[in-house]
Amino acid sequence: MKVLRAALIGAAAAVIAFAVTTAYAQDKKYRFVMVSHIGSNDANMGWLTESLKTFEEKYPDVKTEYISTNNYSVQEHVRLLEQAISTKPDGIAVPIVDSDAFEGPLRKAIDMGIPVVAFNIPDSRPEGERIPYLTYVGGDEYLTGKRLGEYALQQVEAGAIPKPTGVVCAVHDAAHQGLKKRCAGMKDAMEKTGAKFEELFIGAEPAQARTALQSFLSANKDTNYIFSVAGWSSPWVWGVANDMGLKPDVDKEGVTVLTVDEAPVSIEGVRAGHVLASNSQGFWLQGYAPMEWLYWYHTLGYRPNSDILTGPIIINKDNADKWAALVRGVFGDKAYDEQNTWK
Amino acid sequence: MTAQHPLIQVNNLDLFFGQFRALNNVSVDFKSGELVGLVGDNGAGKTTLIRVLCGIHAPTRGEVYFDGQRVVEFHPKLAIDQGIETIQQSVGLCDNLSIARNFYLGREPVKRILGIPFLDFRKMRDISARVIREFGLRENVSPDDEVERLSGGERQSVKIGRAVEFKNRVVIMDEPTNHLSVREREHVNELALQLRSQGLLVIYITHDIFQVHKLADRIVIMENGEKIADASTDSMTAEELEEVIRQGGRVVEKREKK
Amino acid sequence: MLRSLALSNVFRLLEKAPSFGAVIGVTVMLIAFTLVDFSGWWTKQTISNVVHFTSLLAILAMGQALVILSKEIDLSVGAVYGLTGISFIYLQPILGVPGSVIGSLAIAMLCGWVQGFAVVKGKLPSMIVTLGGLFAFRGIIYVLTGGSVHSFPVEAQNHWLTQLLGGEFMGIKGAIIWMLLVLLILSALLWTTRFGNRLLATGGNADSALSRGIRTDRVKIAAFILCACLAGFSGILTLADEPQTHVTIGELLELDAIAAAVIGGCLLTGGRGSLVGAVLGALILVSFRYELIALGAPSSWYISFVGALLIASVIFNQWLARGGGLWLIQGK
Repeated sequence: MKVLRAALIGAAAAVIAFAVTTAYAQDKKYRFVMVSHIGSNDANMGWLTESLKTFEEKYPDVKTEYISTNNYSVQEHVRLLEQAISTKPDGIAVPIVDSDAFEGPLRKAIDMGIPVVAFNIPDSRPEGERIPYLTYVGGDEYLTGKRLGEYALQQVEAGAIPKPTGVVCAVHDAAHQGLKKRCAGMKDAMEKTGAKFEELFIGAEPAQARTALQSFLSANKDTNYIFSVAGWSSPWVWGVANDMGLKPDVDKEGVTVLTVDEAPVSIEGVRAGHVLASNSQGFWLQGYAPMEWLYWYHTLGYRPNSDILTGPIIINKDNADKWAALVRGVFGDKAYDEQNTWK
Repeated sequence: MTAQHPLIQVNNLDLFFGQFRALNNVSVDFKSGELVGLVGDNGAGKTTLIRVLCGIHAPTRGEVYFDGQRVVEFHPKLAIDQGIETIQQSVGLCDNLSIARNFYLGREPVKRILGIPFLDFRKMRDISARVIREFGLRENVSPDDEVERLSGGERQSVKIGRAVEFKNRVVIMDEPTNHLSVREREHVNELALQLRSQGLLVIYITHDIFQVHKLADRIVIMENGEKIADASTDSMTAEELEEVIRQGGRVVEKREKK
Repeated sequence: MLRSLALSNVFRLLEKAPSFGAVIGVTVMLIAFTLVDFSGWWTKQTISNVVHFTSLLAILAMGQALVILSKEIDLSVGAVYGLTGISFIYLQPILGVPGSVIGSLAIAMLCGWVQGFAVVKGKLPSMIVTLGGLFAFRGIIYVLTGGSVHSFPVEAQNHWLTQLLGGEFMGIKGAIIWMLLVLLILSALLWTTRFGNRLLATGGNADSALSRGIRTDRVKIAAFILCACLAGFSGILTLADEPQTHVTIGELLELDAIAAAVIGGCLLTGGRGSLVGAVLGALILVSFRYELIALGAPSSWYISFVGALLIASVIFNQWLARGGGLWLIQGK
C-alpha cells in the first residue's frame, strides 16, 4: 500500500514537472545565436554577455546564446558559424571579421530564411555586393576620427587646449582599413584649420613604435596633436612626448593626445588628464540591439533601412568618471585595474 | 711488445645506412705494437670500418672490444679518450679556424685568470708552429693563419703533426701520404714505423699495396664491405695479395709470423 | 714607408675581421647622414635615442650571431623576447622582482633548450623548428594574457633591480651599459675560451669537429639556450624601462636580429661572424629606420632598404671571407 502511494505521488510529480517544462519551452518562441569573435579571455566579452542577459529579461520569449572561442582564428570562427547555422536558429548575430570567409555560410543561412544581423564589424563592400544581412549594428570608423577631431576643435574654441599646427595619426597596422578610416575622419575634421596632417606607421611592437614616433616628433617640431588609433598605444605616445619634454597633458600648452576605445586604459588616460578624449563604440548596444531587431523582424516584419550606429560617443573628462564606473561594472575591479597601464 | 689480448677486437660487425649495407660480417683483431695495412679499392669499406673504430658510426650488429672491454657507446670523444688518434681524409680540419686552433681542437690548453679558464694562446701557437714546421710548413705561414689558406700538402702536415703530438695507443692513418711530395712521404712512413716501435697500434689505409707491404706486419684486404684477406706480410708477397684483390674471391688466410 | 706599413697592418687586421663590412657600412651611413641631415642627426636627443634602441636590438642580434655561427638559425627570438618580457610582468606579483627576473629568464632558457634538443636529437632543420617555436611562443603569449597585458605596479617599477636594469646612470640608459657588458662577456666567451673554439669549429665543419671529439650536439644546444636567454634578457631590459606594453611585443624582431647579424658579417654557412659586427648591424638598422622617418620617407622605404642592404652585405661578406680583402691589400 505504501509502495503504491509512493509510486502514484512520484508519477504525479513527473507529469507536473513535464508539463511545466514543456510549457516553459513553449514560452521561448525564438532562439537567437550570437557567434562572436570575443572569447572569455577578453574582458570585453562582458559587454555582450551582460546586454544579452538584460535582453532576455525584457523579452522573456526569446532565448539567446553566446558562442565564442578562446583560440581565435578565422577558420575557427567559420566552423562555429556553420555549426550554429546547422542547428537552425531563429536569428544570427555575427561580426563580419572576414567577408570572403563568412560569405558562404551567411548567404546559405539567409537563403534558408534565417535573418542575420552584423555587429561590431560590417561588411565594408557597397550594398548589392555585400552580404545581404538585415542591418549592421556598431560603430563607424570614419565618424570616430571625425567626431574626436571636432570635439578637439570645440575645446580649442573654449580656450582649453592649443590650436593644432601639426597633427599626426599614429597607426599600428598599415593594412587595417578601419584604422585608415579613423585617420581620414580626423583629417577631414582638421582640414579647415590649415594644420599639417600626417599618417605615421608606427607598428604594433612597442619599442619600434616608440622609436618611430620619437623620430617623427624630432623632425616635425610643429606637431602638437597626436591621435593614437588604438587605446593600448596611447600610454606609449604620451610617454614619448613626455620624455621629449613636449608637455602632452591636457592643458593650454604643449602637445595634445587623442585616442579611441572605451577600454580601461583609454578611460583612465582621460581621467588622469593625459588624454583629451576617447570614444565609445557603444559595445553594450552591440549585444542588445541586434537581438531586438531580430525580434522585431519576426514579430512585426520590421527591418532597418540603414546601418545602426551605436557610436562614436565622446568620452571626455566630464563623463569619464561615469564611464569608469560602468566599465568597472562589466569587467570587474580586478580586470579593470590590471588593464590600466598608465604609470 | 706483446699483450694478453688484442687491443682492438671486431666481431661480426654489420653496418647499415638505411637499406645500404656498408659493412658485412667483418671480424678482425688488432694488436699493440703492430702496423696493419688496410687495403682495398674505393668503396671497399676501409674508411667506414675505421670510422666505427674511432667512434663516428655505431655498428648495427656485432661487437667491438677495446683493451678487453666491450665498447657500448660510440662517440669520437670516447675513442679519443681511449687513446685513438686519427688522420682522416675528408674530415679533421675546420677551414674557418687557424692552424693553432685546429691543432688543439678538443683538447685546448687553458690558462686560468681569476679562476676562469681562458685559452692559452701562447702555448697553442708555439707548440703547433714547432710541430708543424717539422713537417714542412713554410716559414712565412703563421699558426694564426686560417687553415683554408693552406695547400693540400700543408693541411696534411697539420693533420699528421697533430696525430704525432697527441699519439697515445692507436694511430689510424687514412691515406696519409695524399698531397705529399716524395720526401714527405718517406718521412710519414718512417714515422709510422717509429710509432709502431714505440708500442702503438698503427692502422695504415692505402691503395698502394706495394708501398704498405714494406712497412706493415700484416695486411687486411676489404671488398664490398667484407674482409677478404688477412695475412702477415712474410707469409704472402705483395704480388700475391694484389692477385687476391684482382680475383675478388673469398680468401681468408691467417699465417703466423715465423 | 712606415705609414703605409702601419696602414696595411690596420687594413690586414680589419679585413680579417668579419665585421669589416659593417664598419664600412656604418662609416658610409654616418657620412651620408652628415651630408643630408647634419642638424637633425647630430643632436643629443637623436644619438641617445638611436644608441638606446640599438642596444636592445644588439643583444638580440648577438644571441642570433652565436646560433648562426653554429650553422643554425633561430626564428623565434622575437617571440621569446616577448614571452620572457610578459612573464617578467606576470610573475612579479607572485615572485617579486628578483624572482620574476630569474623565473622569466628560466622560461627563456627552457624555450631555447626545447628547440635545441629538437634540432639535434630530432635531426630537424632549425629553420623549421624555430618557426614552430615562433608560433608556439606567440600563442602562449595570447593565451596567458587574453589579448591585453596588465600593468606593472609602481612599487615594482621603483624596485632597485628594476632600476638597475632599466634606469639611467649619469644620463646613459641602462640598456646601453648592459649591452656593452654582454658584448664584452660574449666576445671573451667566443674568442678566448674552449667553448668558443668548439662553437666555431661546430659551425665551420661539424663533421671535422665531431671527429676531434667535440660534442657538437651539446655545443648547438648551448648556443640555442644562450640565444634565447639573451633575447629574454633584452625583453626584460625593455620592460624594466618602459613597462607599458602589449601582446604584440617583439613582433617581427627576429627578422631585425637576423638582418643585423648577417649585415654584421655572420655567414649562414656557419663558423664565421662577429659580435661587434652584429652590434654595428643593429646600429645601421635602427639608425636608418630613425632617419628615414625623420626625413619623411614612406614607411615602405625602410623595408626595401633593409632588403637591398642585406643582399649587398651577404655578397660583400662572402667576398671578404674568400680572401677578397687580401686582394685589396696585395693590390696596394
